[in-house]
Amino acid sequence: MSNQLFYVSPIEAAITRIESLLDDTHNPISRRSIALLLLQKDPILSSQLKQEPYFPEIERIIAHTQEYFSESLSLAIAQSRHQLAMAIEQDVIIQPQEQRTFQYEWLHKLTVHPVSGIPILVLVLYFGVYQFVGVFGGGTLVDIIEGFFESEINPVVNSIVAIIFPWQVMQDLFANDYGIFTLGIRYAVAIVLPVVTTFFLMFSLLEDSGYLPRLSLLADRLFKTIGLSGRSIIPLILGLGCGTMATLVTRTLESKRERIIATLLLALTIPCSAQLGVILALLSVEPTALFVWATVMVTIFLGIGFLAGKILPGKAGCFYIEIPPLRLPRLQAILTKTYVRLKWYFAEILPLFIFASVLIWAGKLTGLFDVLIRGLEPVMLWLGLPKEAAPTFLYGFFRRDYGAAGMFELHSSGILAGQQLVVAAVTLTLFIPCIAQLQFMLKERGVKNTIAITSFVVLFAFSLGYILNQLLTIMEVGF
Amino acid sequence: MFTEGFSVHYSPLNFLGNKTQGVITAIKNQDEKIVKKLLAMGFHVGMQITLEQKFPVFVIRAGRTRIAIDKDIASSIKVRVSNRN
Repeated sequence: MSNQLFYVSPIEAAITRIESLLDDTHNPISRRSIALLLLQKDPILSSQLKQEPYFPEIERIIAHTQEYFSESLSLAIAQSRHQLAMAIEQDVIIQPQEQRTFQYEWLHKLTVHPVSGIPILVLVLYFGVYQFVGVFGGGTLVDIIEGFFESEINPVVNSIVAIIFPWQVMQDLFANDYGIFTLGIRYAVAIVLPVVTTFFLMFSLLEDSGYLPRLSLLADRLFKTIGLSGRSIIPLILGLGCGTMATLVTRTLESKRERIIATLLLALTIPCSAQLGVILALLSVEPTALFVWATVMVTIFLGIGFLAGKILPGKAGCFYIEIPPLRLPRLQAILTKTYVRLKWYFAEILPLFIFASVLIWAGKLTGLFDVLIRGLEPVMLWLGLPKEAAPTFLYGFFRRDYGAAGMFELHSSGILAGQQLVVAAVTLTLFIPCIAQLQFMLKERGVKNTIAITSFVVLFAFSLGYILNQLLTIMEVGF
Repeated sequence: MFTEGFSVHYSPLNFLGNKTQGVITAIKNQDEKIVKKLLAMGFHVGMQITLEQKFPVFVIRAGRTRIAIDKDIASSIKVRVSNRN
């Protein structure tokens, strides 16, 4: 049997006529391929050939050919290709009777059936994301590496920098509290590296096992109510690891509308793992406080998603996903994937961290930060927070987790307590993502959308903090 | 055109019950992109499929390929039923 693909006669006739019109300027591609692409209305090729004198004739041929078919030409072409592919497949594949069903079929059924699938989903998220990435990566590993930096590396860097530069200003740029090495690099290596490594490991594992499509399948109905589709669960879960990376991944979503909603939810509601770790540690002392925080965050996530889905123009995203068979992942493949992703991630994120250090340095040097902090102080009082919380919010912008860490200090020194802690935690989680995420929003969504999302997030965070503070006072919730 | 005089029983996928088997008779949606996606995933007219699940989304299987689609896409696949369970 010949593998040469012949299409139904009207299409073949059209191909021959278009071929005879084409000149040889597109040499690397065969004329037949060009003709086929034109019949399928390939946008790139059409715009390239638009200027050619023969293009109107080609358009006439395409319109004439279309009259033979009730479906579009690309559909008719695809149909022929599929039929040949099927024929070849049937010709060459011998399938033993016992292998007709998929491997791990029972496991597949368990993971996609709503009754058993949703508990499995919760378990996977709890152990895979929360315990492994949040508690182990963001807690245990961060503590070890960060401790090592604080006790071994930072003092050395500080003293070396002090020897090289006699000026305090230059010393602060590279070392001390906010220096490029002592803050920028330390954050990248001590906080981001363990969190992102554990996250990528878990993500590659889920991906290679074939579980991710099943996860989006189960989430689709819920996500439809907030203007998204099941696919968006992947960037949103990534957001629990790192919002910056998740913002980048929203580009895999189907429509612009979905991408905007996901970006907004990531900026507003999803806490990144570093932030999540500190907030959980702070609030877990008070179960009621943790409960209020969690309830508020879930309500806002669903509420804002629902409203954004209603307000933004366009149709709700459609959902389709191929479900590969479940497989036992190969360790080698997972490690390689994790390594490649880490390498890429660091190349993207490290300059941003250094940039943030330099900005903090410049902000402090010029006195701009003092002005901003003084401007934030009345806002803090308005939220019922002590004015000492203002720097936390400002620095929180440079590293989202840094804000939460600052809160930890305020709490241990007794400045922030009870109700204030909940209000501060909610406001900080809602408040603007870190500068790295903002830069990625600019890159992915453009200036206009970023400004709109950012202004909304800032306004919403502070207004909600105010309302929450009032509500807790009125309802006399004690912590 | 050759079916004139015959009655061809076919129905959109979203009206069928679980475990129904059938042959795809048409894929039609106003959104050409959806049709293309289905084709790209290997679903085309004349293909034997099984509807495996309807909730939370539709899961259909054809040969060794399995896809999950929402109701809107499911309604664009018309099927001639070959067995009803």
